[in-house]
Amino acid sequence: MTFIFKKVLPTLFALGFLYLMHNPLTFGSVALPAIGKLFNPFTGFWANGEGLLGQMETKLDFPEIGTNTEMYLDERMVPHIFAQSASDAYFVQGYIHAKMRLWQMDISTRAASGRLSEVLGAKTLEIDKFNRRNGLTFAAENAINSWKKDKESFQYLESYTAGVNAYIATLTPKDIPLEFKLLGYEPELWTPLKSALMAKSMCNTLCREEHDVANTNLLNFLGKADFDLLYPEKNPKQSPVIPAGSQIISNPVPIKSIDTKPSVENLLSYKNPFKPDPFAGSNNWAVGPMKTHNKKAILCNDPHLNLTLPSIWFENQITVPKEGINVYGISLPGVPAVIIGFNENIAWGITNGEQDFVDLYRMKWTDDKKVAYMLDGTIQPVKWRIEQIKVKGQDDVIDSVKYTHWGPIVFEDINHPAQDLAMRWIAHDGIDNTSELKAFSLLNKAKNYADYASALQFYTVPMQNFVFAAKNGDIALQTQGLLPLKQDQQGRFVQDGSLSANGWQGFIPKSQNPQVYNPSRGFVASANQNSTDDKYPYYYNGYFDDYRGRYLVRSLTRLQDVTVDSMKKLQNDTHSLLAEETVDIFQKTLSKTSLTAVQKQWLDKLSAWDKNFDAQKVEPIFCEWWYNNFYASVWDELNSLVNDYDVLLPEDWVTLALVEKDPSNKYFDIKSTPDRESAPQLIVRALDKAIFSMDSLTKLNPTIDWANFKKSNIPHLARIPAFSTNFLNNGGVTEALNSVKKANGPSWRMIVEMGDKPKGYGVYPGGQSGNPGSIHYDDMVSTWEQGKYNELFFAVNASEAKQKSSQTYIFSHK
Amino acid sequence: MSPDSKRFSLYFTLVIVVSFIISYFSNYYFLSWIFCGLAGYMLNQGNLKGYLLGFGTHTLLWSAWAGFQNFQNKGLLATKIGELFGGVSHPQLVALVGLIGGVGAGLFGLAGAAWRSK
Repeated sequence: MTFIFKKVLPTLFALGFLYLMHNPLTFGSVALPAIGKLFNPFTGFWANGEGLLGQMETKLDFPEIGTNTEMYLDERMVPHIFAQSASDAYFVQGYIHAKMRLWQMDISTRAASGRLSEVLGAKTLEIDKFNRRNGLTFAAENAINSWKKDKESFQYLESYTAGVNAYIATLTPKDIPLEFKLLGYEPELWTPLKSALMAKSMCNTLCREEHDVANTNLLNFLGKADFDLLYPEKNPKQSPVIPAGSQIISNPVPIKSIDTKPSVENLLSYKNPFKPDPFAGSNNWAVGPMKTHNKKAILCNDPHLNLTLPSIWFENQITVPKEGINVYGISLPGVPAVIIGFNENIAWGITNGEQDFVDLYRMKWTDDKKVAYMLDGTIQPVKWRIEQIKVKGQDDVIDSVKYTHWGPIVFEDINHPAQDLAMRWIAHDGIDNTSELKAFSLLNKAKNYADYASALQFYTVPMQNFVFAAKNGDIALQTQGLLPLKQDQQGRFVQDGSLSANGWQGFIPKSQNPQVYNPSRGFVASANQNSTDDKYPYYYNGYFDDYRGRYLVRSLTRLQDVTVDSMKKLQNDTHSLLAEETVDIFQKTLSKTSLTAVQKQWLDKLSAWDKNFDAQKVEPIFCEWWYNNFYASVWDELNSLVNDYDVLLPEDWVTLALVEKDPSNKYFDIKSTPDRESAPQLIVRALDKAIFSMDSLTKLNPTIDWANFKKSNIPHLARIPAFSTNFLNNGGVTEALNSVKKANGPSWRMIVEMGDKPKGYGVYPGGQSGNPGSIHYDDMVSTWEQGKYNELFFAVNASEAKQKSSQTYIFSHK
Repeated sequence: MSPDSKRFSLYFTLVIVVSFIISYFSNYYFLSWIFCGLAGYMLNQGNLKGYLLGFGTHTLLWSAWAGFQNFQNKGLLATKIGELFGGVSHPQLVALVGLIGGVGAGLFGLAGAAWRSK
C-alpha cells in the first residue's frame, strides 16, 4: 500500500497531468484545445509568431522542378516568380500559396465538399449535409474529367498540386499553420480535385441563387396580374452591360415552345436553408483612349465578395519569358494562374453575370419508396451517391443523395412527397472542350483582343462579365460562359420534372453571348446589371442589380479626361442612386401634404445631402430608416408569408415606380387598419418613425455616424474575433459603387493604365499572409479602408525584382 | 555551498541545456518532462528537490523561450491568443506558459525522485 502511495501515485499524477495537457478538454459548453500542444513554446502557437524578416535567401531542391526558378518576395510579401517553364512557375505558385494560405485552402475545400464535421464535430453536420446535396464534389469530379482532356493546362494543375504538396512535406509540428493547432487537426495532401472544389465553391457563391420556389409561391399567392405587376423582369431605366444596338445577331438558334407555367398551384414548403449571399456583386469598366487624359486605355475592377481574413485573394506576378507569360494580378489560393490582372499587353477583370443557372423540377415518384421516378412515361431509377460524413467525436453519418435526370434531389418533404425537388445546376456539368484552367492560362498571356476572345471560348462557369483593355487602346466586354437556351419565362418557376422537354434546350452559342468591342461611347461597364436590351434574341432570367449599373454608366458618360485618380475616386464613390431617387420621389409625392416643422427640417436636410454614404455622416442612417420603414409597411401583405414560405419581396425600383405611377395602389393599404392608406400617408408615417428612431439614437449616442451605425467588419474564416478586424471606419452601401456592407464589399480594387509599360494600382482588405501571427496578415486593411491603393510592382525582369525584395527563394532540380 | 546544493545546481544547468535541445529538435514538448523524471531519479535528493528541479528549470525555460519569441513577434500573436482565452495579456501569457511547463516537468521530477526515495 505504502509502495503504491509513495512510488506509483506520483507517476500516475504526472501522467494524468500530461494527459490533461495533451488532449482537448470540454467543460460544459466550453471546449478547450489541447493546452500543452497549443501553449508550449516549442511546437505551440508561439512558433507561429513571425519576427522581422531580414534579407534572406532560401535554396530549395525538388525533383519536380525542371530548371532553376527564382521567387522574390517584395515588401508586401507579393511573390514575383521567374521560371523557364510554365510548369515550374505553377509549381512555385502552389508552393507559395500553401506557405501563405494553407489552412484557408484546407477549410474552404472542406466546406465545399461537406467535410467540416470531420474536424469541427457535430455542430457543422447540417451544413455538411446541405453541401453534399448541393453536389460540389460531384461537380468537381465532372470538371476534372473535362479539364483532363486538355493535357497542357491539366499538367499545370498537376505541377501546382505538386508545389502545394512539396510545401506540406516540409512541415514539422511547429510550422503547422496556427488554425490547425487551434482546431486540433493536421493538413492533408492537396489534389487536383481540391482545386476543382475551389472553382466550384466560387460557382456556389456566384451562380447558385434560385428564385424558382419563391416565384412559384408568389405567382400562386398573388395571381398572374399582380405577380407581373410586382415582379417584372427588366427595369426600363436600366443601362444594360451591352449598350443598346451594339450587338446584332442575325441568325439566332431556334427555340422549341414548351409549357413554362409552374407545375404546382399551391405554396411549396421548401425553404432553402443556406441562401448564397444576395449581395455578391462587383463593378468593372474600361475607358478607351478618347476619353482619357493620357490617351491610354484604363481598366478598373472591384469584385465584391464576403470579406474575410485571410482574404480570398493573393497577389502575385508570374513570369515565364520562354512561354510569353509575364502577368501580375490576384490568384485564388488553391487554383493556379492569375484570375484578375494584367500583362504588358492587356488587362482584364471580372464581375458576376447574375443570370439564373439553377432550375428546380418537381419529381413524380413511382411510389412511396421514392427510388424511381417518371420521365416521358418511362420509369427511371434514381442513382445513389453514397455520402458518408465523418464526424469528429462520434460515428459516421450516412446521408446519401439521389441523383436524377435533372441532378440531385435537393429537397424531400415527408408530408408533401409531390413537392420533392431535383436541381438542374450548370456547375454540375462537365463540358468537353472547355476548361477554366485553360481559359485563364491563355488570358494570362493574351496579347490583344483576338487572344482575349479566343481564351474566353474555353470558359464555362460561372458566367462572368470579362472586361478588357489593351495597350493599343482597344476596350471590350464579353459576358462569357455557358448560358442555357430557354424559352421566354422558362426556369422562372418550379417545373414539371416528368417531361424531359422541360429541360434546357442547349446553350447559346458563345459567339452570340452578350459582347461589345470598342463602342462609340468610349467605355464599357458592368455592375451586375442586366446584360442586354430587349433586342437580344434570347431569353434569360437572373438576379440583376438595378442601381450600381445605372450610376456607373451615368458617371462614365459624364466623365471626360479620365485619369487614374478620377478612377480611384469613382471606385470609392459612396453615392447611392437608390437614396437619390427615394428622396426625390418621396418629396414629390409629399408636395401636397402639409408637414410639421420637424418633418420639414429633415426633408431639407436630406435635400441638401449629396446622397453619399460617407463614414462621418448621419443622413445615411436617417435615409435608410425612412426607406426601410416605408418598404416594410408597403409589403405587409407579403410579410405574413415570409416566416412560413420561401418568398421574396418586390425589388426597390419596383416599389418606387409604384409610388410614382400609382400612389393609391391597393398595396399601399395597410391591411391591419380600417382606413384605406395611400403612398403619401405611408411615407409620412415612415418619416415620423425615422425621426423618432433618430432622436432616440442620438440621445443614446450623440456622436453616432454612418460608419459606427453600419459597423462593417472583416471576420476571420472561422469567426474567431481575435483574428478578425472588428470595425472598419468607412462609408459605402449596397447600392453605391463602393459597396461596403457589413462584411461584404470590394474584395480587390484594381486600376490599370495601359501603355508602353502598364501601371497598376491595387489593394485588397487583408494581407498576403494567412498567419494571424504575421504583420502581413492584415497590413493592407487600413490602406483599403481609407480608399488608398498600393502601386503594383510589375517587375520587368528578375534583377529588378531582386533589388526591391528582401526574401529570395531559389528552386532547383534535385 | 554544500555538495548537495552543488549537485543540484549542476543538475539544474544540465537539465535546462538538455531540455532545450530535446524540445527544440524533437517536435514533442513533453519529452523534456519525461527527461526530468529521469533527472529527478538520478539527483536522488528527495521528492521536493525532484519537483523543484523540474519546476524551476521548466518555468525558466518555457517562459524564457516563449518570452523570446514573443519579443521577436512584438506581442502580436500572444495578444490575439490571450484575447481568445478571456483577455489574458501577452506578458501574463508568457508567465502562464512558464507555469504550465514548470508544473508538468515538476510532477515528472517528483515522480522520478519518488522511485528513488525510501
